Amino acid sequence: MLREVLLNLLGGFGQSLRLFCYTLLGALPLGLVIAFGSMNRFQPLRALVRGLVWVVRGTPLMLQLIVIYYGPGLINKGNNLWGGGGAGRMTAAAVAFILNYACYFSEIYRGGIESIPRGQREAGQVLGMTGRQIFFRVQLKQVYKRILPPMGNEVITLVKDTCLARIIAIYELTYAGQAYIKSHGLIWPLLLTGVFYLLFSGLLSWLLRREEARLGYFE
Amino acid sequence: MAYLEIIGLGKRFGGVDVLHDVDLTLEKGQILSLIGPSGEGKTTFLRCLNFLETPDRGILRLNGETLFDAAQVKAKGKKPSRRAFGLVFQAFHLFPQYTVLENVMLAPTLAKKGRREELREKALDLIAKVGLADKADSYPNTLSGGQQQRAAIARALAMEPDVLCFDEPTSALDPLLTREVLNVIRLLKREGRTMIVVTHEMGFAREASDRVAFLSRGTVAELGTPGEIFEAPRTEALQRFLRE
Repeated sequence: MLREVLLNLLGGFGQSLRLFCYTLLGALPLGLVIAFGSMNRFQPLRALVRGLVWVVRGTPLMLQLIVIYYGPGLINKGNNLWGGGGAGRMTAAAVAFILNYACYFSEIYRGGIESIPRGQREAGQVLGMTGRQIFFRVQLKQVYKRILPPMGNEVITLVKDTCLARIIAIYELTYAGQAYIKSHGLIWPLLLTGVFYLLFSGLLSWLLRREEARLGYFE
Repeated sequence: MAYLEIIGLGKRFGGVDVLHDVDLTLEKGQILSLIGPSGEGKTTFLRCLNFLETPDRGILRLNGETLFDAAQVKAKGKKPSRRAFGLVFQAFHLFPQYTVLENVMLAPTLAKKGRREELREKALDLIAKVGLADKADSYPNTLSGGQQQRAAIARALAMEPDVLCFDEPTSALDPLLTREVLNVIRLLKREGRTMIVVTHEMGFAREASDRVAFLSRGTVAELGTPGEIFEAPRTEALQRFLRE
């Protein structure tokens, strides 16, 4: 029995892990784009981007997930934008998660970029460096160091947020565990999912702390 | 014709003339010290020379070549063509994630000023010149303020500026460290570098500079040799400043 449960939970964890990876791969770069949008000198663009961030951060991720998965089909009757089956669901979930997390990340990026003393940029300017060189060669690593702790927070939250995907019937870890309540009247498989979450977030915390220590040589 | 000519330089911020009608000349290899009360234009003046601020009025000429002409910049959006000035900041602003050597090499490497080994040799020479040969591989947060400022001087020199500017280079340092930094500036003078130094170190201004300008209310209120400025101040504002 334990063996069967473990295999099932492992399958659920696989789905959770996929969503986790898609989200980071998409949201880390998209967040930077959104951060630059929210700091743009062109006021209408800035307002638009900040409006988007407000809406996405101000409404539940579960609501966004439902709207993104079901919305296109309802507007365009019967035509499922996401494709059928599990793959379609995963695509829709990834889009919702990426958009949601990119907005949170963008604010962390913006805070990090704005926290770098202006003197760093000016020192680059008087040395004849271009804006791009100053960003990539001077500011980026300092930003990276500063945003690592808040980013770590978000990444740990994401581990657990993946369980929201079950609302559109993605067979992720929590869903896999809960299924045993209905089918076998067992609660311990659900409790066992907690161990999966703990081990994975523990691993991530350890990696993040190691990365912070690696960057400890400068201020 | 003077080596450096600054004619009618002016800068407004929010309708206030922070800098106006600044006329200055400097010969090659000379040190010009700028003295005066805080908040009356000295730092803005250096920032204008380094194009951290774009002057609203005025012309900059170096060796007969016009580097900047506010009228042309306004008319054609023409940016200054060449970077002739270097700037050393009061707060150093070294890049914290790089070693001293990397700090010195970064800008010349990006500007493709030469082959990597050449640039490295040059950088090490500069670092040795400012007395940091044993610190080339150290990170800024392990250095004293005086060492950081000397590293910042080496970094500025690596771009081979025609005129090197210092914005209160010792204001963040205690007297001992101040001396190290001023000694480096004296060494550069012996090498014949042209420099403009904003300073509160009156002893240094008097003994090391060729010309001293007293900036008050956004313009050059008095200009002369150290003897003229310190022994025979003409304006009341300068007399009051020197008393304090």
